[in-house]
Amino acid sequence: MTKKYEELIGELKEIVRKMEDSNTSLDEMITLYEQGMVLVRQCEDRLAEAEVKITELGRES
Amino acid sequence: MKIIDQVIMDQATLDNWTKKEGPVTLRVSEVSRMIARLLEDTSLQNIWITGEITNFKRHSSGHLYFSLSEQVAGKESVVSCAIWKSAARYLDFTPDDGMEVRAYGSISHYEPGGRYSFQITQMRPSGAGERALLIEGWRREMAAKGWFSLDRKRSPPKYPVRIGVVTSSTGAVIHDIRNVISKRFPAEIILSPTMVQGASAHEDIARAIIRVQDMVDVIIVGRGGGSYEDLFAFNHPCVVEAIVTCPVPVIAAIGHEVDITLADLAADVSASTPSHAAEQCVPDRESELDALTHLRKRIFLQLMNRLESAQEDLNGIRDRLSSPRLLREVRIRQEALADLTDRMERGAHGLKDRAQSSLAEIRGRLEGRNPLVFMRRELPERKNFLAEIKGRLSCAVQVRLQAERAKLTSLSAILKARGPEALFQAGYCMVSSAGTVIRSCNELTPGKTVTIRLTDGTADAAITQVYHDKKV
Repeated sequence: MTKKYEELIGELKEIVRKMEDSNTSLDEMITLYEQGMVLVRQCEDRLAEAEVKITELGRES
Repeated sequence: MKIIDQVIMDQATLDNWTKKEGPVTLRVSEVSRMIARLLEDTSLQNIWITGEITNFKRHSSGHLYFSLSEQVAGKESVVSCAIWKSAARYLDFTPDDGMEVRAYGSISHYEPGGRYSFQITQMRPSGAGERALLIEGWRREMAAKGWFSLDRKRSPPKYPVRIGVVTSSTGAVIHDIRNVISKRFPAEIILSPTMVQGASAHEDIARAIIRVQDMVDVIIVGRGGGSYEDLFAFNHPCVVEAIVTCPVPVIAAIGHEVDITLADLAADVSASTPSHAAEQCVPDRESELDALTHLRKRIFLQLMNRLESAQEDLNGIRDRLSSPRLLREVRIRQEALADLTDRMERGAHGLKDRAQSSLAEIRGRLEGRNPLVFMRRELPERKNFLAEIKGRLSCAVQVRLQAERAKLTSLSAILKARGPEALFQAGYCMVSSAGTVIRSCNELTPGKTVTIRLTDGTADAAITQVYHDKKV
């Protein structure tokens, strides 16, 4: 199952947090940056997704 | 109005009476008493009247004055009413204009004013008023259970994946919600259709909530604007309980902004309209995109900063490795080394001096106990002693020697007088060979070399012939 938008945003925020940590090494930063950019793109794609989907439940259940 | 009516009626009566013979003239007080008697008819005493409150006034004395009115076929009927302060105290609701009420009391004539009024001892709301009272009762019960407590309000998820909407499948509500959500955020809407008004609407609404609650992240319970009666179902305890016990947060949007139902009070979020509820339910796509752009910038800048500081570190290291700097470092270290050496040497000297002085001290102390020293100290003394003895000895020897020398001189004189010297002078000589005095011719052979000693010297001679005396 694809990740929820919320999970993607959560991961992105964690990456930002790590990148703003002065203890992070340069190599790690570069990897984080690449991961972060992938997440940003995924989030943008998600937001660009088509119209809202609507389902109507039956009256009986 | 009433007074004028009465006057008109009285005039008519008077006119009739003037036309009749033997008109009867009545005094005001008589008429007033007659009216009072008529009004005090049992059919107007201790009765219930139902009607709508109009012209409500609360007098500063605490008495309540108003009218009960009713419109039938466009014709309005009004009865003046009063509730004395003593009875007003026991009312269990606050009467106001427009309320439908049932009131219990008696019609009474007020002679000083020439007016009658319905004097009320008990009054209850009926219709909408009655419903308001019911709602008020429910509200108290729910409040006592803590259903409206702010502590139990949950925040809706920021990014819901599925949104349940409990409303009519045909109204404008679902349409509005759908429009707003599709514009803002890609979420899935699950509509749980329900009746929103009518006698059993409350049960239907509660069922619709329960039906959808396990499938979604948040629920919007919505209804468009309507009359107080239209929204009544949303006050019902079974709807409110479904909201309170719902496992996911509930956003209520019932009626217009001014309409507050118990469902609104109990919901986690109360929105003024269904569109507003939808806005509160999902984030705005545009602001999310802005936030993403911001995050993208932030991580890019962070990386750039890190790269820059890495470059600075590198420059710093390169600078530290440069030859002038290294030379400077070496010089500093050399100086430090020299300093250290000096200090060590100074330290060593000090140590040596101290060692020598202590050695000298020890030596001194040792020498103080050395037998040789004793001896040396005493040696001169002994030398003196020896010299003295020696002096004394040599003096004795000298004396003896002189005595011996004197004796020898005398002996030598004797010897000289009696020795070979005189013989030599007399012409005798002494022959010797190799230090041996030759005393006989037998000792001589021709060719033998001999030394002849004379008085004033010696001569070597060779024997040429030996002649023995015949006698021999």
